[in-house]
Amino acid sequence: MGGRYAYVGDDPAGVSAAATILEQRASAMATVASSSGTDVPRLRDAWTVGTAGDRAYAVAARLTAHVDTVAPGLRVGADALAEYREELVLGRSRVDQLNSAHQVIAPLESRVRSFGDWIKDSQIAAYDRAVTELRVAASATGYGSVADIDADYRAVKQRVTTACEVCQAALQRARAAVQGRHPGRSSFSGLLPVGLQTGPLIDSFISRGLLPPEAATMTADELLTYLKDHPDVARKLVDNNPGFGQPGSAEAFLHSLTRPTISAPNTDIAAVHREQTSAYFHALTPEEQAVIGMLFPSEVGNLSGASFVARDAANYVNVVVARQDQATVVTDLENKIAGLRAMGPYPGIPPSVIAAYETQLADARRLLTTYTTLVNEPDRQILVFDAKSGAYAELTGTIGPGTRNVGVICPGTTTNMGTILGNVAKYSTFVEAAPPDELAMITWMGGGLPQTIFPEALSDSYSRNLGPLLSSFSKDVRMETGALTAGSTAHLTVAGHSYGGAVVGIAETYGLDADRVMHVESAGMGNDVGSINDYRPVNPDVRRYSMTAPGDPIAHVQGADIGSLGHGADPDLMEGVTRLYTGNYEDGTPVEGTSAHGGVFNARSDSWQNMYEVFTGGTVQVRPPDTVTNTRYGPITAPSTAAPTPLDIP
Amino acid sequence: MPTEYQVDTRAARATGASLARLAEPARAAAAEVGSIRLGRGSLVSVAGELAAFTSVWADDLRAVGASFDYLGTAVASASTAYEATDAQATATYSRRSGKRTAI
Repeated sequence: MGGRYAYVGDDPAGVSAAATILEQRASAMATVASSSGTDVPRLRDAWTVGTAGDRAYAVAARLTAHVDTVAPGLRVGADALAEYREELVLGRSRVDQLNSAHQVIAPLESRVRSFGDWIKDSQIAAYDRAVTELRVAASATGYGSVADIDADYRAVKQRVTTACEVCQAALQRARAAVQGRHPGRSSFSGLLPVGLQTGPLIDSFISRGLLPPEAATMTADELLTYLKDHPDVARKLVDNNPGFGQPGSAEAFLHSLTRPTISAPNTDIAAVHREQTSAYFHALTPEEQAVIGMLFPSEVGNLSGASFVARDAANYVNVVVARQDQATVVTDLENKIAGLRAMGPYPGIPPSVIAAYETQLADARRLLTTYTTLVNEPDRQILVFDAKSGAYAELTGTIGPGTRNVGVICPGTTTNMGTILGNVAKYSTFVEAAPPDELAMITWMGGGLPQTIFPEALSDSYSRNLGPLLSSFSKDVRMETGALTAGSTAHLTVAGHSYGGAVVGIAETYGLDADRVMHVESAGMGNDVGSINDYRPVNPDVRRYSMTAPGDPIAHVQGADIGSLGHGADPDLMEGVTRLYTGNYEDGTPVEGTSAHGGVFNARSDSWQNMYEVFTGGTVQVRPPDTVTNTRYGPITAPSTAAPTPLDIP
Repeated sequence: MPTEYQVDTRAARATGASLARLAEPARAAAAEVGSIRLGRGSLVSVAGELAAFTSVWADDLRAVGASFDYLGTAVASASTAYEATDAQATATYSRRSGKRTAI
């Protein structure tokens, strides 16, 4: 029912439907728990002696113990929603009454007020009649004025809001009870003892002295914590290479990837291995994937096609070892500087030498801080890590059945392992703004980036190193997204900021798998790239976008390309690229000038919003063409003052 | 390695099959709970928290389903493997006996 007062809260029918589903599934899972509880003793009775029997019984017992908690957990949600729904229905009924009362009272009250403060004698009768009618209506409706009705509406809003908050709190508590390390993931996959598939592998590692005997009974999470606290054991795993292994085992599979293969001409071996590897890992439970990652960190951490759960677990172990190495580097430098200082300021040790070591120490400490953060925050999902090359990639958010979009973004000049976590935080704002689970972002730095504008950032060498890696990684992301979303149509955006744009451009020449490509304050479309005909897109329908804020000095190098210096065509002017509006910051000041180079990422600015729309497939604001004024000194180009035009992303 | 085994293969296989059957209701529950969506029509809404709730519980139910399937199948396979090993040992023993008889 329409009227002055709008309904408050969610649609009761939708809430009711959700509550019904949860209640029905809670009942079904209660039956499952009952059956499971009956089967576990039977399993023990049937298999009384034997290691495999003991493992199976242990798994079954813990599985059953967990299943016992599922139905009550779902019921908490169902009950909370049902109570909220009752308040919504009551609230709507009350709002309907208030709107009806308002329809009656408002005109009568208005009429009484129209007489003003001083009633002429000739109007007294009419005034009395109006007042009487208002009083009669007040008696009938229960409200003497619109102000009274407004007050009641505020009370209704407060009551529904409180009910909503109570429901949210109950849902939050029931979710927290099973929340795992990653958003949208249950902790249950980490509860089971090491599975039957990986059990023999663990046993063989124990017998070879790579793991302690107590690892036999650890869960995946316990093993990860153990390796965190025992970097010496983690190092043994990092240094160990897969052997031939038992036929069919994970070790044998990983070993097979390292052996030469015979294939038909023009076969894309990397693509074949990626598919085989993805199929292998996704046939395992997430817990087993993680265990295999932990056991073979050097092989799995950056393995194309390996599940992201496995890569993350592997890279966590790699970081544990890198952190120990880096701590040694820091200690050595500290000792060296202390030794130099102890020698005193006599000739032979100029202050510049000590200053150089102090600079090294500051860098080394920054790196150590990054590694320490990564070790202390195991919830981070590390998809790429290589301390030697400075490679790092981190997933923010969740890739799962509800995922609609995945973004990959490559940062630019001066980014390194010591600063990359700042980029991760910056790009996570897009995930936080999107509906839960619908957008996942990957911060990708596949190796070293330039650390100086002159001369490093002018060179194409970094982009030529990283471009092929980004091309390959985009295919990994596509495959993993397909596996985790049951082949849904989640869209993939690959973006590059500053020098990262040049990396994206070179990646496109190797075949980038993306639905959308975005250049943000980009150095260029890739060295030697003159048009999109130089690209080899996996998806021929890929859409390309670019934004450069007015006054960003990067504009001076866009389009410059001489030999190995410069980064190809200007992203804003290349045919086939949609130029996006950068607009204003949240406070209304324009996004422009030198500070805009990084400022475009300020949350809620027009530039940030446009990036968000590209990442989520929404509606972007297209920058109008620049105005060109011919002067005696030649044409002068300036941003147009016309409003941007909206464009839906298909 | 242990040297003693005691298993009623028929009973273990039956229990394994029974456990594996529990995967289906868990998977169905995962699919349905995961599909719950509430439109955001109002500033006052549980849609965000409900989405987080269903996401985690759907993941949990998927893991439960996979675990039942995996555990049940593995138990049944192990039972079959015990029987196969016993049958193979029996056949080997029979052949050796035959050779000795022939000599």
